[in-house]
Amino acid sequence: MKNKEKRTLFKNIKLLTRAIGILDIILPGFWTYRVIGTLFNTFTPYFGLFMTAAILNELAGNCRFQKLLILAGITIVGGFIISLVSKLIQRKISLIENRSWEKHEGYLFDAQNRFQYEHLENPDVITLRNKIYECMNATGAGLMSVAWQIPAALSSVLNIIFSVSLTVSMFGMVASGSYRGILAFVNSPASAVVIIVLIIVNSVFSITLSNSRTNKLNSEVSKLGALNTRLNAYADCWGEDMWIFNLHRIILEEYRKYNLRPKWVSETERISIRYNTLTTILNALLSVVIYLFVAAKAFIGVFGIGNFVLYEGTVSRFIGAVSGLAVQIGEIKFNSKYLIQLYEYLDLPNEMYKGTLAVEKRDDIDYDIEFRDVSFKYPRTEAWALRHVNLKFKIGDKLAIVGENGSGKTTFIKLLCRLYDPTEGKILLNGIDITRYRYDEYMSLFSVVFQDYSLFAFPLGENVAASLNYDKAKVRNCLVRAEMGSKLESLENDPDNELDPLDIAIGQDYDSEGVEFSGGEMQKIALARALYKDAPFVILDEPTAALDPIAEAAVYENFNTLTQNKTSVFISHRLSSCRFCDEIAVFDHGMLVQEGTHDALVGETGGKYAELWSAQAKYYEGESAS
Amino acid sequence: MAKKEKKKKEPKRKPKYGLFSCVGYIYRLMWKYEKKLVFVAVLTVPVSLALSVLALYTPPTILSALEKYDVFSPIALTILGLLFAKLLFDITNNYLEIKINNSEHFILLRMMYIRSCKMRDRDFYHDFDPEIQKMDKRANSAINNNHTDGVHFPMQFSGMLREILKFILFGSVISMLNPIIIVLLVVFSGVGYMMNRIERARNFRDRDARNTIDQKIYYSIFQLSRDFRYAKDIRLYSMADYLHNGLQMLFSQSLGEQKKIENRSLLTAVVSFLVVLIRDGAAYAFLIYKAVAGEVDAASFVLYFSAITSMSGLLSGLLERINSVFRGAEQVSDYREDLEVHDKLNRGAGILLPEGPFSIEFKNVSFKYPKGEKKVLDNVSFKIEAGEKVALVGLNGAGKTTLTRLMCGMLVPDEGDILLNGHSIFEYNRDEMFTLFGFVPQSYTLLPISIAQNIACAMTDDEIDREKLNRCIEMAGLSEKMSSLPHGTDTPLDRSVYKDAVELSGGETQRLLLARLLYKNPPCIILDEPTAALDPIAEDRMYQQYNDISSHATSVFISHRLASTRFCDRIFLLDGANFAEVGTHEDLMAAGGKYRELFDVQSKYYKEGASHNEE
Repeated sequence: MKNKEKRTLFKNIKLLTRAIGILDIILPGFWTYRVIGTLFNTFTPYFGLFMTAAILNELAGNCRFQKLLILAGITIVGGFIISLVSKLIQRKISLIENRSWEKHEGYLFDAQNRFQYEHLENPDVITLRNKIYECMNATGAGLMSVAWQIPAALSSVLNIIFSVSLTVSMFGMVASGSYRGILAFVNSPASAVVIIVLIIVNSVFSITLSNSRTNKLNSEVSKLGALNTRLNAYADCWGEDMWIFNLHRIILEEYRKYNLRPKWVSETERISIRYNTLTTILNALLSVVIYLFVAAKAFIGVFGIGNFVLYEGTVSRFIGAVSGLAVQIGEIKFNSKYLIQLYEYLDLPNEMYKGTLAVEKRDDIDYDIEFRDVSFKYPRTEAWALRHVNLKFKIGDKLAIVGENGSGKTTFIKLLCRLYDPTEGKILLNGIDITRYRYDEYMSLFSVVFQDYSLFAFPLGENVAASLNYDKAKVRNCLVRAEMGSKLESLENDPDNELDPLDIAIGQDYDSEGVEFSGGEMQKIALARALYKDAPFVILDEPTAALDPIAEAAVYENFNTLTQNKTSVFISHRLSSCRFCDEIAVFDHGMLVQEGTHDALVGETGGKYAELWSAQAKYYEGESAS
Repeated sequence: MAKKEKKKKEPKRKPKYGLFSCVGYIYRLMWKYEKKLVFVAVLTVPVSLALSVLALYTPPTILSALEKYDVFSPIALTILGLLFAKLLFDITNNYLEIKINNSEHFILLRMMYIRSCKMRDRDFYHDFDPEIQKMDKRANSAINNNHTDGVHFPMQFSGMLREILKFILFGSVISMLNPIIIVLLVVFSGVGYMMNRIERARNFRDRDARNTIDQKIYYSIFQLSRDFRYAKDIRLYSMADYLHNGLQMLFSQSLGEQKKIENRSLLTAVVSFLVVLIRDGAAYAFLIYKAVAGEVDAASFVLYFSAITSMSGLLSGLLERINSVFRGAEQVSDYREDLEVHDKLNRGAGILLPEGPFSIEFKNVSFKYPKGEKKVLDNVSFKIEAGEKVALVGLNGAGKTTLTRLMCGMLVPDEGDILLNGHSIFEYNRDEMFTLFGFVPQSYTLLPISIAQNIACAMTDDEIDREKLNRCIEMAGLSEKMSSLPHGTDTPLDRSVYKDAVELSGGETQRLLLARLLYKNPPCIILDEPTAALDPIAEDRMYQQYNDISSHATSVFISHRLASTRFCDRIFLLDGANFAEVGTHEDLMAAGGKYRELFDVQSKYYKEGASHNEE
């Protein structure tokens, strides 16, 4: 039993040490100033008490004018200096703590941006991530709690030390006269023992009470997390279909049911009232005893009334510090499970980063890629998304990949770009398994426009360059090549706009002065980003889905120049795109079923490609073209 | 820069409702939903007053008892009595405060709910109006958390009353000593308060800079980090460092702003510390002088001194409360104003709905988005006959989606009229009119509920007609996917909410949206790029089925895939804010205009023998 407790204590300390370390990274200097500030702030009230006592003693005693003035002078000048120093420390801490929640989130964001991609599609990881958010938002549980729990506990400990060292002498002081009844008892050393026992009993009670309160409150609040996530998701549901399909009522009904008078509020209310009342009574009882004890000592003349104020005040602070410490220890213990949750997230394994080889930088872009009997299942699924795929790219090839929805085209791209590693088989770059290359180096080989590409609401130029600092001329050039030249011009000529078009934010989420771009324009910006990266492999997944026929044709016509000297992969449901690719790979139910040129494949009657082609082409054939 | 200046010149906004109107409004709300709060608020006044009296008098009373009595028992009784009274009031006060907290929370939730109901009920086009967006923002900031003045507004009143009574209490204690002291204290507090005002006014002046940074930080953190859709691009374009550096840059900008605030606060603090120095120095000197003269004993010394020091806190607290009450009233006024946004469409009784397919007619319709400069539609007139199938084509940004939004009352025309079945859209009850339409929109909304509920738009499972549901799923080509899911159509959407949710691909989502439309089966259907994410075979199937889908409806089909126009009775080509060409596929091909050009461009690659090197 003892051993187990020791082990949990040791474990808790380890958890806390790591949290302290992380906070030190997120908020540099935090701990230094927090500790100094806590020391200072804890000490301050004792100065006040001490000085008041001295003044009162003098008032009730000799009442010398000069001595009183000196004491008052020390009090107010000391008070002024203390306030000033305290304010300066506070100022420093506020600056260090500025945006601490956001910095905490930023830390998690940085970590997750270096996770292997697979984690971010794993529902367990997403659930873990949501839980961390929920706890953080509901009660600050997790890392941020440590930032205020530790200073609070430190302050309680310091208070206990200060108050004990100030009052310990009081218990030993005895008056010389003889007294009867209570006064005799108060005047005997035994009384000190009784008081100390009472204080200990009270502390034990407070600790128990506060632990049980913290547990109950937090279990109520933790139920809240899931509900909050759902309600937040509802709040984001907004669009014209909400009106036409009468969807608002579903959301509002849920809100009405769960959030108008949420149960947890009444529950926590009940718990808080009960425990607050009990603690108030306990502390009041103890303070009655202390008051009487100190008053009796003063009454029999052990010390003057000034010291009565000093001792009474100090002992009250002691009681407050003990019950405070009890609460804080309970909370620190409770918080440890949120820390475990956080560390579990931060420590997710990263298989992708094990490779060490550098990718050869070659000017002759002589890279070749081979899929060797590659099969792939998504984690936690049974079906094969890809099965026995063998494919070799020749350098400078223009490869088109076609197939029905769900035939494995996008999965193929995800494996090629190492978002996932194959379940079976190997992918080779220049004859070497791609898992042996350094991840970031391997990534630098690909310029990809995914079907569900995402752009940030950051400035246009940063989006294209994927960087804060970029070559403006090059960004412009890429945008022009992606058919955005006329848009750039119209932004430049817009009299309302005085910014360089590259500094204009996309949409208004990031910058309310930003400009909305249409779906087609967004696709072109994503294309420009791929061009800017200028990688040896260009992969375009449905780059023309949102484009009108003219814009689509322009992309096709520019395809050769866009992908000059590059190996390119083009995925599209618009099979017209296959006409300018050298090689076509046809996927069906995860298998590579056909490979060849358009002319060869279209001739294979009964083949998948012919089926796909004719399904689309029949609407355009036979029409008299000029 | 020019834009920034424009903002400053904006005249000072006057709240629509005054202080008393808002007090009345909030108390009516409280009376209706949280009666308890009204009583509790009144009760806190005597309780908190009693607590201050006790806090003020306990130490001096015990001190004077110690000096006065020769036996211990009256001293003990005094101590017991005072502490017991304090205990009682403490418990009561604790209880009341928790109650107030929770009731305020409930009122806040109620106000949020009332606002959501309004926002989700008013006409859709308000969303595009910048004036209304501003009103929305203001209303939102009035109630977006527990700490706004708007939310605490009713409680600030009882707070004000409390503070005034305490002022009278402490004032009368001090005036026993010397009434002039009160005047001096008021002056001192005035200095502190003015410093505070100046500090706040300066902080307010550069709030725009802070808000801009805040918005950027909010976006860069909370919007990006919780949305894993960005993860692929972040990896492929190695953007982890870029995002990190961008954020650090924003943090340092924010620190710069915070420094300004902290420095102002430091200045105010130094001044107020000096005021305290003078105040306490004067108080001590005065009291010591009196004590040495024998006019004041140790106990009264304690009493007077603590009365003097608490008094100034009280005064600035009172001024603060008064401010907060006025700010709160403004916020409540903003909240109410936003609730009163007027709908143009008919929200009362309307004429009878047409049965079956109906005709749609635009008469000289012009429309421009409030934010845009150009008219999207300029004097457009046309008529779609009941049951007719129309294809709407045009370049990106030609106004196709806008036109369909006008058709179904999502937008209202600036000029001209829109007739459904020969009657203006304003004659129908809006919500009844919405039942006439269904669409597959480009930007869609799916709720975090089960797939079945999403298709049937059903609140509960009981509302779902399972047989019809399965038929629609089958028709939309989604049954294979559904049977692959362990819970079938009961599987929920949205991974961020449900662990066992399914993430649908673009093609699957389009099929789901089609199923939802089929389930509703309205007399007018609008398909906006319904095949963009579909593979050729699914696209072909969609065209084949189109006649079935639209057999009992007037329908509008928007697509960049010109193959779709073959199944439509007429084609409308939008260009330059009006129809450039209208007619059948054959007519328009023969006319050799814009449509012909688009069709040729697209079909070129499908023609046999087309070479892939055009140059």
